[in-house]
Amino acid sequence: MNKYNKKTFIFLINIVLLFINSACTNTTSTKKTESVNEAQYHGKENAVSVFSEEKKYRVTLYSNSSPIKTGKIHNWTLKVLTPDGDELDKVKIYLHGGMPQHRHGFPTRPRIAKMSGKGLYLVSGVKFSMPGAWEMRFNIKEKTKRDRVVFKINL
Amino acid sequence: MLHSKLFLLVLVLLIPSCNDVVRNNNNTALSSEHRWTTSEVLVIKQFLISNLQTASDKSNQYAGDVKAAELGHKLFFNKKLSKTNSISCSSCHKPEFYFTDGLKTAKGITQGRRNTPTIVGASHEKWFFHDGRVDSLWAQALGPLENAKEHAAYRTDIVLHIFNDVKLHALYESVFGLMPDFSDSSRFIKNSSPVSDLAAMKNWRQMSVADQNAINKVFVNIGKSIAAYETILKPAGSKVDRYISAVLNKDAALISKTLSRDEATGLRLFAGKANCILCHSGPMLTDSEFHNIATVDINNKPYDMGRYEGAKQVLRNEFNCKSRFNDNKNDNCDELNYINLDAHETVASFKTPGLRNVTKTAPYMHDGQFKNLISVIDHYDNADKLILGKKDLLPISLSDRDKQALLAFLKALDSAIAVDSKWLAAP
Repeated sequence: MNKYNKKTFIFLINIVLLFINSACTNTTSTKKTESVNEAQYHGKENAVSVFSEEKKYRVTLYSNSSPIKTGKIHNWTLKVLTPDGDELDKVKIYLHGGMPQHRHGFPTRPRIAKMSGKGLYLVSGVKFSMPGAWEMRFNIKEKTKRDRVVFKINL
Repeated sequence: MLHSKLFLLVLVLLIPSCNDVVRNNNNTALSSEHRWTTSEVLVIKQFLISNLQTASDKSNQYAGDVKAAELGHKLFFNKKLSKTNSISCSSCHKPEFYFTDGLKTAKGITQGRRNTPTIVGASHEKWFFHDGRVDSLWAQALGPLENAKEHAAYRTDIVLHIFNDVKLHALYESVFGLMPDFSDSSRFIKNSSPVSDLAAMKNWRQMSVADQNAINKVFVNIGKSIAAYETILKPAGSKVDRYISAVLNKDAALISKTLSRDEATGLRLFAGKANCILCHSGPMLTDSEFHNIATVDINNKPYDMGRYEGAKQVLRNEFNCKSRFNDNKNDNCDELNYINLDAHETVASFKTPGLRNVTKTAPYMHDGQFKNLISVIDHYDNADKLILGKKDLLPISLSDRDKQALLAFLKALDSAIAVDSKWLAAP
């Protein structure tokens, strides 16, 4: 086998492996850092922590129930801090979300309330009515700035 | 030549390692329709009726009480619980129509505007009526009794009927204990109700609060006993359940024998390409939520606003989760606390119906607009007409063959009612 043939052979093998892999597994295209699923998400130890879209806030989402069951109302804990880790003053946080692919929002109207603890908020009344790709979009507003963070939940 | 041989060898070695297709125990050859990948099996196993948990409505401590069910059975078929002595629950929920009526819209004292849903398996729901305007099965049972289009009965008259009927009175007391003495007609005024016509409401206001409460307590217990009867009515397993069990057990012989290739194709479409599973999920094939599926025509007034009105009504309902008649004193009523009142999400949305025995419940949709299931499937395939509100439907494209396969699958959901036949007829 000459050098050219070897390269072609390795290339072909890689393509075949890629093809077989994609046929055998179910992967989601969401970024690992923003994706929460039933298997990995069990509370603080598995919290998902990201920067908001314009990097104005550091946001961490904790699940308060495990596994996350469809059709059941449950709560989350949210932590919102500045990128330097400072607590925000007079911030308003709004939650929107749902299943964008199915064009509907949450079946419930979740609420957000400040908890004791640095930058902590209770997100209550969340319900995922069916398996699939859900989004929790948090809009964070201060007097002079605002930003948004989206968590993707795959059930 | 060497590298192409190696290439083939790698292919031969790698392909069997792909462990995504469910294998069977006895190596019987299965047609492609009956071969399910592991990920597909994970999806379809949610439909198994064995996943159905025992209904436990804690707001009704009598839900599992057989004596209460016996009383409820008698009341369900009792036409005296109507203004004209001509309408009972069974007038619309006929056992021979799987506890529906076969009509486009229900007909009680007068014509209603909504299609009669079945009550078989209703104890597993959390919202009732097409718009979810009540939140318990027992509260649902009370609604039609005082609805002017249905039974049009007055609350005191219903209670007085039980009080004056020796057998019903005795059966009531065997379940709920001593019934108050309602014999004083100057205190317990006939034709009284807090939610009926003006004269009845005026009569109701003339009664003392204590007497109103006494009437309400018995009235609620009537609802709880009817709910106890309805809780007994559950669907039996269907061919689809037996098929999915066979798939889980990898029993190839049973797999190919239980569903036809068309029915299996329909199951795959239902759980996949046709998107039915997005709302029709779980063992009753419903998510018990509300969706706008383009069934309210914008050119056809007056509009049925569906959940938009129902959500507001359930918060006002005197028998809702937060009422003192809820037997579960620890109930935090989160479904009400976090109820979605957003018009954008709720206008023209209706509760997803379960699909077990759906062939027996025609016509379909909240207003019975479709005579048969193939019309329903056509609607989903082509729901682009102008409608009220924001529809939840995703575009799908089904061939005629796909539609026939879906229809075959829906027919395979047929089953009996898993209850002694004595409960399926008037006592």
